[in-house]
Amino acid sequence: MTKILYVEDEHDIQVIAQMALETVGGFEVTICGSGMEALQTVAGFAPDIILLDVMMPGMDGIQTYQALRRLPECAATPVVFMTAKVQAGEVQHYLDLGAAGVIPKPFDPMTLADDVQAILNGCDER
Amino acid sequence: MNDKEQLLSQQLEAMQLAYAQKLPDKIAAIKADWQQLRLQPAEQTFDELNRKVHGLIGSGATFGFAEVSKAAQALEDGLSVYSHVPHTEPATIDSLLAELESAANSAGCASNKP
Repeated sequence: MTKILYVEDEHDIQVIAQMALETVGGFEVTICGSGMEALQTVAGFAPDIILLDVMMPGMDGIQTYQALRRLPECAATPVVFMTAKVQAGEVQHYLDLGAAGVIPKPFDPMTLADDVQAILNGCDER
Repeated sequence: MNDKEQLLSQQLEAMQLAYAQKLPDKIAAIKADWQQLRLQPAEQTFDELNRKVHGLIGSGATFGFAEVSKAAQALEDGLSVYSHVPHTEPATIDSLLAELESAANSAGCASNKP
């Protein structure tokens, strides 16, 4: 089963995303409420892909991404940014950092699992 | 719609209702931060206000309330101008906040329909 680590501080979004990814996608999902929690969780969970909110208090998504990349166990794990800031320049910035993709917020719960699967498929083809 | 999507759709309906019921509290918290910012400008208060507004952009339409996301986006844009352009009228933010509150009230009404 594909394992997803979702890093998101908003409780409402955590719940709806987990439901969508598990119910429709059949993924195994672990939620972390902060970047720091993600850093503590990632090695033990060994996700196949990481979904990362950009705007979080404390460590934001970019800082979390950079810290995750410094960990040998997830140096190559695909990371997808989930953000409401999706102007062309902003998206390109995330991709230039090495993100596997960007999912715009607000997202559609009915298609979220398909969007994640499409990004995973793209990673497999590379 | 397959069985899994049908199940998710049913779960979403319950979540939408719960989310709509929480909206008045979220708006009240935003209004409180804005009043605090007016009384005593501080970067921390602005960041907290902005974070709450940004949260509504990301969550509103996900729960089926696109107008909430749209109004929150307009407020976030207004706050950005307010913080960067000196002498921006606070009334502009008051107006955008009132529009967000109206969108949230409409969401509450919509979620109560049978």
